[in-house]
Parts: sequence; structure tokens; C-alpha cells
Amino acid sequence: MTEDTRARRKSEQTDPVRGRVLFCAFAFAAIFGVLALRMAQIALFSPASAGSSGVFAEAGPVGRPDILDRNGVLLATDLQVASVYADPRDVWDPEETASALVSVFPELDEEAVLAKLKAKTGFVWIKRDITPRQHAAVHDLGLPGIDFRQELKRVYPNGRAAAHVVGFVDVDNKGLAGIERALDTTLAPMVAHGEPVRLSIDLRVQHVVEDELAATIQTFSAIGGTGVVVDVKTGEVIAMVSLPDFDPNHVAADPAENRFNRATLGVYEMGSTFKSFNTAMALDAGVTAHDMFDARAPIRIGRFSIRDYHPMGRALSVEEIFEHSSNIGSANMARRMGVEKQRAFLAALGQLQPVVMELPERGAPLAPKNWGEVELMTIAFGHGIAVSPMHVVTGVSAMANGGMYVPPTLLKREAGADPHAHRVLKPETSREMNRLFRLVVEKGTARKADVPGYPVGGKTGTAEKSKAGGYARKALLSSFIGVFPADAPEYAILVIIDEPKGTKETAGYATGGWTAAPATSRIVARIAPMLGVEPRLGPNNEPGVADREAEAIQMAQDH
Amino acid sequence: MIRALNLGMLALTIMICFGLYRVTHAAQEREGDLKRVEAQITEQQRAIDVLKAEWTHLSQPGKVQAMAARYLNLQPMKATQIAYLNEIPMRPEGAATMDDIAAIPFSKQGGEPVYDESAPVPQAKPARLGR
Repeated sequence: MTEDTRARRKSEQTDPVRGRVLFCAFAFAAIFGVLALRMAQIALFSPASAGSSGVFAEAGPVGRPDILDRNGVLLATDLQVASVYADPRDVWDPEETASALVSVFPELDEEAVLAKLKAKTGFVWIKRDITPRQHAAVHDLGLPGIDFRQELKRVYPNGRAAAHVVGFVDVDNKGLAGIERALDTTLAPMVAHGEPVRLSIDLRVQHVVEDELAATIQTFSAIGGTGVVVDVKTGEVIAMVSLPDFDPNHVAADPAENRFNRATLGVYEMGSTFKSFNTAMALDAGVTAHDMFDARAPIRIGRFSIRDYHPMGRALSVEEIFEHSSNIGSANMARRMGVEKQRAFLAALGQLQPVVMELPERGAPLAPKNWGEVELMTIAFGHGIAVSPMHVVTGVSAMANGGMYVPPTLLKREAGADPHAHRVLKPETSREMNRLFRLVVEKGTARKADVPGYPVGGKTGTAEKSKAGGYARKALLSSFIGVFPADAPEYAILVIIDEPKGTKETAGYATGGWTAAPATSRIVARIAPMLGVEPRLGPNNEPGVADREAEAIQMAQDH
Repeated sequence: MIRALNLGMLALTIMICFGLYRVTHAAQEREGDLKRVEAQITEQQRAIDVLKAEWTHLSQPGKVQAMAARYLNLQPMKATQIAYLNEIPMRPEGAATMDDIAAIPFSKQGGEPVYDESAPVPQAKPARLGR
């Protein structure tokens, strides 16, 4: 074996080893290189949110949308409240824990708490819905086995205001009435998640209506009342009051019957306010305000007899029938129109179906099954048919706004949104109706409804409530349906007082003209400036410059 | 040569380990910050919700009305108290301008303004308004 071959053999032996070592070194270098690059990439380019995807899971339970009025005032909101619970297995000293807890919650019974803490279970509520201060106090006690759970609680910061509209929820935050209930059912698809719901209600107007209605109910010792204000052009309900009411924060604290919404669920025979519809129907069919109808003697038909409260004993024009609220004249006007026409007209005005609106509490009108001659004549002056107050406001809005039936809504309509209106009267008929409404306030039964500067038009109604087969003479439903400003109505307002009793000041009268009409006057005087209605200061109640000199003289005389 | 390579690799490995540790640590710290800030936002949001509800509760029209009746000497506005802009008379010719008013002299020593004794003075407000 030569030196040369030995060297070659050695190199043949070592070369494969060197190759393997180098291979491993490069492999490791490559792997570490990849790691280094990846590290640099994470350090330099990783987005801030990487790894924090779990954070939002702690944001708390999902709640209900806030409910706001048309100006953004809170009517209902969710607040997170803490509740204390105990896990008895982790409690070290039940006696000491119980006495410590009672020191924070003096209203709790120590024995009962102790029993809970000794229970053989893993979870017991100690106290639900605690204040932040109590939360901090219990936290500071540092008791083992005592912990908190966050819960959502529905809160109505405005209390009773608009309670029938907003409604309320049960302990599980499920809507049980009003808009709250609609949010879980019919309105559910329309509400964007997390977005507040904006109502058409104006809380300030709502308050004024409630304030004046309550005062009127008290003055006349009535059992209840309703007040509704509607924008006649858009159908938006600006205020809806039903008294007596309830506090949605403590629903059980008031009698259950207070939850009844008189404005939409209650149906009543409205009496003379219905003559507005009868008159509009006749005028639209071509009768003029000066056409004469017989009103000389009571009408006898079958066992019924139709008579007037203030018999005029002569033929009356349409204008006079409306102004003096003649039942006989109205019945004769309806006779000329006929049953079919009357039924079709009331149907077009939405008076024979439940009102189309967002509330679940909507009463179905009671219309006669056999609509004959008698029904034709009694419906003319608002008897024999029962509708909800909301029906009347909606119908009268159509008389006042130029003849369009606008479906009412409790949600705010954006400017320019289509109100889905349809025509029910000629524009001339609407103009004539507004003139007649004004006439009733200027010269007729509703003189107490007027407001200086904000002329009101309208019609009073005084219906005897039907009780046990007949009519109760003393139980009245006194109402006033008004529109303002009378020359170009923007708003319709209905005030109903349930069973008012006459006072010394009203000489014992409790009719619509003595109860609901003055209430309407006070309401309009307060809400018209809020609603931005231009004052009518001109010499003929038109928008314009007031006669300041005459005003000054008047003021000097007043003092 | 192999030894140099090994040493280099070892140094690199140590550097990478150290770098990795620092980056991970910094990332954890940031994540903690983020969680803290988010919890803070949620907490503040809750506090705002409570304050909003409380403000609405305290500023209810009924409560404001009762307070106004008690402490303010105000009455509801009447329609006749509203005037149109064109009812306000225009400034008469030759009336004082802002420049004229600015040019009214102050006495040189004390800087006391010169009062016009004939000008009407607004009525003093009562210390406490009637109930």
C-alpha cells in the first residue's frame, strides 16, 4: 500500500462525514433563518389586533335598543346592574359571611341569608340589582364564595310619561306591551342592531297634554281621559296620553286596568264628533253648506226616537246643523246619502278596521252587522258605531289636511318620506270643513276651545255611555276634536274626558264644550309655540303683524 | 472553519432567542394594555349610559315645570308676545353708531366712565324671587 493510496483512502473515509455535517449545518441554518425572518415579520408588520380577538366576548349581554322621542330624549334604555350571588361550597364561614352581607344590605334577613349560604348547591342569589356603592362595599369585604354577575335592566327614565306608547318588559327583558312588544314582533325586522328607535312623540307636548288632562280630570271628578295630538300631514302621533297611567319601571305598583290604552284599545260611541264625518260625506257628494234639511220634529223609527238637545224647531242648513250639533238634521243628511255610501265612506276613512299603527293594542271598531235605516241615522250623529279615539283623530286629520287619509304612525317620519296617503275628500270639501270647524269654535258649542293668536277649529261631542242595554244619562263621554291653526291646519288634537261631573263653575254642565274644549284651549296655548306654529295676529286671524296699539290699550285696561 | 461556523451559529441562536423573548414580552404587554383600555372604554360607556339616564330622569318636563313654578318668575309665552322682524323699527338717520359709542370719553385720572344721569336704569332684581 503506497502513501498515496493511504491518503486517498482516508479522504474517501472522511469526505462523507464532512458532507453530512455540512448538510446538517445548512439545514439548521435554513430553519433558524426561517424563524428569524418570521420573528422579524411578527415584530415589524403584525397588526395591533392580533391575539386580542377574545376581548369583545367580555362586553356583556346583548340588550334591547334604546327608545328615544322625536328630539332624542331617552324614553327607555338598558343599564347594566350588578347582582350578588354566592357559591356555598366556597364559603368559609357562613355565620360571619351572612352578618357581613346584612351589614351592607340591612333589608335582608340574616337568618334567610345564612340558610342560603348553607344550602347544598353551587349557586344562590343573595341580592339582585344592587347599587354601585353596595357593589364596592361587598367587593371590599373580600368574602370568599361571594361574587357578582352583570345583568341588563330596562330603565324608563321618564317614568309615567308616554307609558302606554313605550310599553314595558318582563324580568327577562321581553316586551309585554306598547312599542316594547312591537320591537320583539312586528318592528323586529325594521330595527338595525344597536341603533336606537326614534318615536314620533314629542316629550314636551306629551307632558303638556298629560298635565292639562290630569287637571281637567281632577276638576270634573272624572274617572279617566285621553289626549292625542297628530301631525295632519305626516300622520305622526306627537302625543298620546291615556289616564290613569302607570310607571313602566314598577308595573305591578299600579292597578292592572291602568295599563289599558284608552287612545287605541278602547272603542267608544263618540257622539257628535262623528258629525264631522257625516257632514264631510254630504259636502263631498255635492251638498252645499247652505242646503236645507228638515229638523222640525223628532224622528220616530220603530222603537227609536231621534231628538235634539236644543231643538230649533225649523229647517236647518248644513252649516247650522253642524254649528248647533243637530241630531235630527244629521240623520236626515245621512238619509239622503244612503247606507251603502255611508259604509263605503267610513271604510275609506279607516273607521271600520283597527287603526293601522305600530302598537299591538289596537281595538277593533264595533260596527252594526245589520246596517239598515236606523243604523244609518244613528251613525250620522255618532251612535251605533264604536271606534277608538285614534280612529277619530285620523279621520278628522283627513278632513283638515286637504282630504288625504294618512295612516298614523308612532315612528318619526324623515322629511320627504312617503306617508302612503290616499285621497278620501276633494280639496274643496276639506276647505269647507275647516271653515265649519272654525264656525263651531267662533259661534257654536266650542267657544271655550279658542286661543288668542292660535285660532282653533273643531267639534264637541257628548255621548251617553251605553250601560247594560241602555244609555246612562249621568255617565258621559265628553270630547272635543280640534284642528289648529284653523285657517291651514297643521295639527289635530282630541281630548276625551270619561264621566266628568259638572261643577259650580260650569253650572253643573259636563258636556264637551264645558270640559274638553277648555282643556284643549289650554293645551294648544302651551304646545303651539313648541311646535313652531306661526301665531295668527292679523286682524282676521291670519299670520301677520299685530295691532300693537290696540294690544297696549287692552293691556292697560286689564291692569 | 467548522468551529468558527459553530460559534457563529451559537451566537446567532442566542441572539434570536433573546430577540424572540423581547418581542413576545412586548407583544404581551401591548395586549394587556389593549385589554385594559378596552375594559376602560366599556366601563366609561356604562357610566355614560347611567349618567344619561339620570340626566333624563332629573330633567323630566314635569320636574322642570315644578321647579320653574317654584323658583322662576316666568309665565307661559303668549302668541301676542311674538313679533316679526319687520316690526322692529330701522335705525333712525343720525343715530349713534358703534364708533360714536366707543368715542365716549373716560375721565383721565381714575378711568371712571362718564354716566348720563338722564338715562333710564334697569330695575334691580329681587334677591329672592317670589314663590
